[in-house]
Amino acid sequence: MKNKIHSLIIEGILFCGSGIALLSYSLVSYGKAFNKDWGQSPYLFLMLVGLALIGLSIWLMGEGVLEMKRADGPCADGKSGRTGAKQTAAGDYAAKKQSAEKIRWVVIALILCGIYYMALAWLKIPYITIGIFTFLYTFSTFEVVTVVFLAAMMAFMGVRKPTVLVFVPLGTTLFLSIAFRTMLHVLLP
Amino acid sequence: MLEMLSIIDGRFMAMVLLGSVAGLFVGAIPGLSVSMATALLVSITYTWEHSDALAMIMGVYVVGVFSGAVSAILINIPGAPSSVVTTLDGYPMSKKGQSYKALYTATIYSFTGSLFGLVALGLLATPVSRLALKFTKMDYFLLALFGLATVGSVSTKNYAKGLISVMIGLIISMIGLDPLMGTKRLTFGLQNLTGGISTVPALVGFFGFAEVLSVVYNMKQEQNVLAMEKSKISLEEVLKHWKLSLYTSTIGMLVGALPGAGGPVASFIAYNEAKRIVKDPEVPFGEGAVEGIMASESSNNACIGGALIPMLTLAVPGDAVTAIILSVFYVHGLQPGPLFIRQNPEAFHAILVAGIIACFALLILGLLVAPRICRIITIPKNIMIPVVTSLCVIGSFACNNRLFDVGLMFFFGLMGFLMRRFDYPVAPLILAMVLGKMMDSNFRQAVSLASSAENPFMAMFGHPITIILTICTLGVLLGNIPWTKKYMDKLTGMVKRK
Repeated sequence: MKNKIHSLIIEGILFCGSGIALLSYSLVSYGKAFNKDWGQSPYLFLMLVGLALIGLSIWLMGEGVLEMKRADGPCADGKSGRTGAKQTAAGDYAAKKQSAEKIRWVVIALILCGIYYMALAWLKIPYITIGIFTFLYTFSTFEVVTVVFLAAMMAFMGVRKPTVLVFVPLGTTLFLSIAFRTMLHVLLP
Repeated sequence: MLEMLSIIDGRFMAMVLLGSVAGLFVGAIPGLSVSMATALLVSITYTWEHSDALAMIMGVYVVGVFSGAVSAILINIPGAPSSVVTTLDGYPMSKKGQSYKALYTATIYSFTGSLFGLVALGLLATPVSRLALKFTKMDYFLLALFGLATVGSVSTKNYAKGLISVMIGLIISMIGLDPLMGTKRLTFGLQNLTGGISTVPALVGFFGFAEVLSVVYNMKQEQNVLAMEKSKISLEEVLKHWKLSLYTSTIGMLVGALPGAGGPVASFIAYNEAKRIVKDPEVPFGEGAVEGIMASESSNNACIGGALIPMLTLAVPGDAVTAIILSVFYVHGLQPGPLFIRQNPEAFHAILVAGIIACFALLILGLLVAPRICRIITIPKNIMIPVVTSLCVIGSFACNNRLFDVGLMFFFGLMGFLMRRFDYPVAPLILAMVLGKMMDSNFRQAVSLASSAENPFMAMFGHPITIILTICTLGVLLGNIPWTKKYMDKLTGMVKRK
């Protein structure tokens, strides 16, 4: 059976790559720069950070290797670590399945937020002002998109009562809009 | 004194009280945090007068740190990281039907701890400022490095991961125009990145949206609120630990003043000290000892004043919230540092007075409102989280009025979520992001100045403060690297034996 690579090693490789990229960027940019004095170079600190990142990623990889060796070593009951690992494989599988499910929730939430962002960026609803006695309430793209987003997100998170799905998004958006746009004069998307 | 009192008017008081009420709910509701609230406030308050902004933020900060204890006691979920230790004895007390006593104790000692920290700030800020005037460019760089090395070690079990977070923060801080030469760095041709990464979208993303994603990830977790029975408790009974609370408050203030360390570290140390000193508690620690709540709450609240000392006098924040408050100063054109108190006494007084008013608001809200907010702290997360997402969008958009920042906020939120998942602490990243530009410019200026000196090494490291800071930084680094740690332990053991 092949030994699975420890996550610390993968993370270490990722950060080592980032460190090398940063180091290369600093050296190339320094090479192209007019001022060749390292003391004044804007790339000096960046280069040092790149070097530190490479060092830290090697440390992380080293820890990953040690962890793998420890997992392969004999257990207290005399069995090898690998035999012990087989016994917990079923438990690991269940945990992984649960984790994958949770990640799927996060991905859906991110997609909803992405749609919210794109709707705010592309939809252009003109400002509409409603006058109630002396109070003027203005709404536009943000309010319309936010009501839909809040209802969609609440439905995704398990709210099933139609009254909650209608009135909470409407009420919350109205509150946010009046508090920020009307009272605090904060510009909204 | 009269100068300080002249700041107080109806508007100022209202701002502190509004902030305090917001802090009570934000701190008490798990999923919302003081860092998130202050990050959102930065974007809203940047058009306000700086005294109004500081008043509201201090209200949120002081009461928010305390109210983390409310959910820690009632539902065993700390509302803030610094209240983790409060759960050890707070929740067992609630299970025994003593939740009111636990809340009462937490309120009283949070009040005394906060007041202690703020008095220390008032007394120590000026002498520390005088000392800071003697700092060289290299000293500033080393002080920030010391802070980052410390926060990397205390915020995670794996020191390498803490330091990697620091490096990521430093990289983010260097995006945009270089502060000395005006050269573009790491912008990759994107015009929107030329001005650098604004602190607000990054903070809102790392603290706000990352929390949203974490809640979505753990959606099926349930929480139970224990019933509260109001009982008569004498103030004398609660105040019998006042001597110990002075000691734990001092620990909190000192730990808070260390750049990088904050409430969670202070409360752990204070709790262990209380355990060591109180040999025969009425109830054992971990099973509902009042001394445990006292130690945790007095120390984490004393951290507030302590953390503000390096932030105001050296521009080096003590924890994530003071890092955010530092960005409020920058947004309002104020420059913390050794000359800050002399040049901006009104801003310093505003912080001090707002903090003290917030302490009294804490006392009132803690005794009267906190026991009644059980229902609010259990607002269903499936309703609260979408609303928080919209607040994150408003907060990140408001600082520059551009949707690019909203996109950045979502990106940083995802990054923060992944960091939490893989045990990379966010606090060091935020501190590094805030300190990065200062470190870069001070380091390069120190190198430039030293390169023209006769002995460049001595010019950089020959100053007494520089030597102390270099030893401290190396001590923290070597004491946490596994390969050198055993030698450091041996060395400290030898020193102790001698």
